[in-house]
Amino acid sequence: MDPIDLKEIERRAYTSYHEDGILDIFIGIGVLIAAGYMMTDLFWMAGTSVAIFTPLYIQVKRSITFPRLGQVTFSRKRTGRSKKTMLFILLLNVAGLLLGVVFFSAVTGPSNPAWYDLVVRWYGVVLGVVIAGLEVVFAHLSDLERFNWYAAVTLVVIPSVHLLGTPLFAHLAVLGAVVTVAGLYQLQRFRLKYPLVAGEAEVAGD
Amino acid sequence: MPGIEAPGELPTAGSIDKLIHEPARLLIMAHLYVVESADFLFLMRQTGLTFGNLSSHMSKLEDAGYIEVEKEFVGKKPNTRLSLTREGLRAFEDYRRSMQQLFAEAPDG
Repeated sequence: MDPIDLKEIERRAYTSYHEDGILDIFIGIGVLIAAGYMMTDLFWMAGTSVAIFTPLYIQVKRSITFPRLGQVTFSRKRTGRSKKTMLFILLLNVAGLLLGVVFFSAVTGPSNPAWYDLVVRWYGVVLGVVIAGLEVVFAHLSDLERFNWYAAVTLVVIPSVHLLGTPLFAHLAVLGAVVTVAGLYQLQRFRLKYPLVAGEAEVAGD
Repeated sequence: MPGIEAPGELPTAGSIDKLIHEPARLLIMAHLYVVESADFLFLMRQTGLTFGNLSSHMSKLEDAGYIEVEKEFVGKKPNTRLSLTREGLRAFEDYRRSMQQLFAEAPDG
C-alpha cells in the first residue's frame, strides 16, 4: 500500500490546468459558430475558425491560467496521454471526412441504400449518439469528467429535434450555449480559487 | 543508508529518510516526482504552502542535493523552476519502498 497517492497527485495537478473552463468556453463557442454556419449555409468556413481558435486558446491560457497556477512540464506518460487525445481528435476529423465521402457516394449512387434512409430519417438520434460518444471518449482520455455531463446533455438536446420539429441548428445553438455558460461558471470559480499572484519578487517582499 | 532494508524487515527509525519524511517536504518531493519540472507558483498552489514555508523547505532539499533549482526570467519577472535530481529521485523511491514495507508488514492493531 502506498502511503501517498501519487496517481491522484498527478491527476489533480493535470486537471487543475483545465479547471479554468477555458476549453469548455472555446468548444461551446465553436458549437455556436457551427450552428451559425449551418443557419447561413457557410459550413465551409469551419476550417477558418479552427485556424483562429487554436492560437487564441493558447494565448488565453497564457494570460489567465499560467499567472494563477504557475507552469509545469508534465511527465512523458501524461504528455503521451495528451498526444493520444490529440491523435483521437485527428482521427475524428479523418473519420468525418470519410463519412462525408460515404454519404456523398450513397447520395449520388443509382439508388439510396437502406441504411442511408434510416440515418437521414433519424439524423438527430444518430448525430446525438455520435457526439455524445466522442465526448465520453474525450472525458476518459483527458480525465475531464465534466465532459460526461456534456454527453448526457447532448443526448437530450440533439435527438429532441425529432420531438420538437425545430431545425438542427437551433439545438446545436442550445448545446453550444450550455457548454459556454458552464465554461464561464468554471472560469469564475477558478479565478476565485486561484487569485492572481504577484511575481516571486513581490511576494518575497524584495 | 535510509530506505534500504532486506525483504521482510521493517524499516527502523534510523533508516527512514527524515528529510523527505517531514510532511511539507514529502508533498514537495511527491509533486516533483510525478512531473518533469514545476515552477514555484505551481508548487505553492498544489501543496498549499506559503511562500516562506516553501522557500525554506526548498533550500533544505537543494542543500541535500535532492532537487535542482533553476532561476530565470520570464518576461521581466523572476521565475524559479524546480526538478528532482537523480539522487532525489532515488532517495524518494527508497523512501517510498520503506513506507510501503512498513504499511504492508506491520501487524493489524
